Amino acid sequence: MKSAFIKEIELINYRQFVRQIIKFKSEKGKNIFIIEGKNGFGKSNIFNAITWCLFGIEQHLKPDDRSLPICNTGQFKKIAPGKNLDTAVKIILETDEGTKEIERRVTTHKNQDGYHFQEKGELKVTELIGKNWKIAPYPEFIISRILPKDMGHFFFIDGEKLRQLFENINPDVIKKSIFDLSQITLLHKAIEHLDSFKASLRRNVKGKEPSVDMFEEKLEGLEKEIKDDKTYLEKLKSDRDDAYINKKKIDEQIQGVDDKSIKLLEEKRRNLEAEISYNENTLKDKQQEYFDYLVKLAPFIVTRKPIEETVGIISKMESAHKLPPKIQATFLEELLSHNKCICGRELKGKDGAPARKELERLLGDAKYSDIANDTVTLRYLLKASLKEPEKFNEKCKEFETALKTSEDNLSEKQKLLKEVDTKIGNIPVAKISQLHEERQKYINALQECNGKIGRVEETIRDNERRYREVEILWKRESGKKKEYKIIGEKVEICDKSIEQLNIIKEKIMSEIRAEIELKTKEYFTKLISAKSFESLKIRDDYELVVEKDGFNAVTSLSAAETLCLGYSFMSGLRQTSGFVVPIVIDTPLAKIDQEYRVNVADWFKKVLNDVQVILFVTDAEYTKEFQGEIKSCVAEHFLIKYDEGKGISEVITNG
Amino acid sequence: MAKEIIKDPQIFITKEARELFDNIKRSFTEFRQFDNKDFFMLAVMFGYENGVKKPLKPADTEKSGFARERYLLDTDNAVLKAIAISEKKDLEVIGDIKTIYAIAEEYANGGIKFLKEFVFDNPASFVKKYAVMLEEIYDRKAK
Repeated sequence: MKSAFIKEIELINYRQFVRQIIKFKSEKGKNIFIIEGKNGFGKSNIFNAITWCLFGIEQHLKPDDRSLPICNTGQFKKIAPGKNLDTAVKIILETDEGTKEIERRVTTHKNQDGYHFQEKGELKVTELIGKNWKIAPYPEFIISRILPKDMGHFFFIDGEKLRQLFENINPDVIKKSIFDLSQITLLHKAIEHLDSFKASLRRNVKGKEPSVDMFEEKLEGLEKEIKDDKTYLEKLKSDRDDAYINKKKIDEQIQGVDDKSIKLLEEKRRNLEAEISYNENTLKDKQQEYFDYLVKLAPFIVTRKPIEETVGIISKMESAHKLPPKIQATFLEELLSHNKCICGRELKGKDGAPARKELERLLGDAKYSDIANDTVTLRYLLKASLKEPEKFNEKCKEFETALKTSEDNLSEKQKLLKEVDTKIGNIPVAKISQLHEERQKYINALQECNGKIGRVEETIRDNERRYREVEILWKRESGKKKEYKIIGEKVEICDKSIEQLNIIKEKIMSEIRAEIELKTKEYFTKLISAKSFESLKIRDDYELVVEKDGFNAVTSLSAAETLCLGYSFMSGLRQTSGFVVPIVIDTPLAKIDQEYRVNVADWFKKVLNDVQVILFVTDAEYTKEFQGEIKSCVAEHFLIKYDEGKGISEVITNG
Repeated sequence: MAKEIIKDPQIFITKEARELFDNIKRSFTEFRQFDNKDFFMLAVMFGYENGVKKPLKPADTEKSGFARERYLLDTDNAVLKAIAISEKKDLEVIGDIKTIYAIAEEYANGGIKFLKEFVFDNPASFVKKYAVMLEEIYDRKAK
């Protein structure tokens, strides 16, 4: 089941909605539904209602709402202590396997002292079979077939959050998205399972053999260390992302100061930072290229002597006319075995002896006839391989010069950045000095996190290496005892299976990465047609690179371009996933300039034309120009009204 | 002379070498794109350069091979053949793939110790050191 259309959403006592039904009518060629409302009127909560109903999470809950119960607080106030209030969200979906009603319900209990207590929610899926509705036995399973939870964020998008995410997009996010999309959780789980099974196999020997126990204890210790370090690494990465976002916010504030020279300095700083990041990656790529070249050339350099010797032997034999042989050995062997020459002369007896002797001599010369063709190819290849390293020293110098240039370039840019930093820091404006100081604080935090991340990653790698080494020792030691041999063999099978599963996992992810890279590039080019970008890549290490003027421009894109990049990536993921389920976007045009709105509208029409699209927009976003662009595809336009006195929102059809 | 025809010839290495390659691949990003045959060739080079051959034990060749002939580049095969011809001082060995690989396997087996030391002793700079080492060999052998 891969396609679905939301026919109806019903909200009962959910957040600021008391009882609300929104019906979506499908109409050929019109797939976009607009829900318009001012900030705070409840757009995001309808969005949240959808994700809560399907997956049990309110994906984009606003901080103010986090402390409130999920039920409508106005209705909750009305009920007496000791009573309950039911909250429910129902979604009716038309799928290619029939109509389904998904309902999530939760009960909020009011204590005697007026506080709320929420019971565990309940999920129910009812399917229309023939003319009757039947309750499906495994509701989560049904939903996962419509859209797996892990993939929800590719279809339910918050424009503003997406923009923020792509402002600081890091390879981990790209990798995780591709991992989720690859649906290789099963493979991943299998690897984890095999790992823990392996550990349990080893534990079978524990306590029985002191020499083996010693290694088992080491393995357990290392296992714990690796696990703890990985948790710490996650925390560091999250701290680093926070520091980056805060630094970025300060950059925006400095950029927003009404002073042209400050703006220019800030822009220069932003560009330099992007160039430095790009140069660092280029340096890594150049080092890899150098290493690959060395590996390729090594055999021709190291084995120069045998290569020359072999070429010499072949040439010598050619000069002596032994190669290629004039007569094939098989032919001579046949004549000798039949004792008759081709001229009819007998080769046996006294009379035939001289002729036989001559044929035997010829056979000696023809001993290379079987390999004659091979030698021709071999000599050609070896001669060519002798030529390969001819420019080795020159080429190495080229690489080293290029590396040196990259290193110098990088340090030059770092120096310039320092200068710009100092200039900004010395601006005699109190607000700027304060922002600069705060910025420095976040930069220090960023550097500290990056340093720690590097060290922790190194420790993890080191411990994983030690783990593998100790595991080998464990296998050797346990293998000495006959009774543990079978356990050792099982551990070996686990290792091999893990290795194979990892190969498959990497292959799938790499193929999907290539596919998404292609699609993201295609959509991004369409969306930002006015600008020229040299290329868009998702590197092997999952870093997203948008090349512009020779550097990675990802972090220096404008807000609108960043959002367009986010949309392009998400569309790439969605297309690759093969699921045709509704796309729900909250604040789709956040910070998008007029210049790009037409492109985004065009993209909604062209790229998302095969699927229901629900857009939650503010009146400021839904401008006349944008309306005009997508008008032909809009199926319905709803408005959210808010009654401030009652704190209740209502969705009505516009016109 | 009748030659033994081997279908899909395989290359064998010791268990320790397999584990070392696995370890190197996981530990260094530079080796991320390395195939088994690349590791094998690298080990052969280290063994050959240091002049160390170490025969494999029968148990090492009982299991499936580490790499196969069809995965080797023509130039890889040519180099391995040249080593064998030079060792045997006989061109006829060119048609004896079993002997060619046996010699290469012995060098690879002898080379892993040096490869291990080289990579793990210079974790941060082995690319530059590898370049220096090859430049030195090149200058010495080209003379």
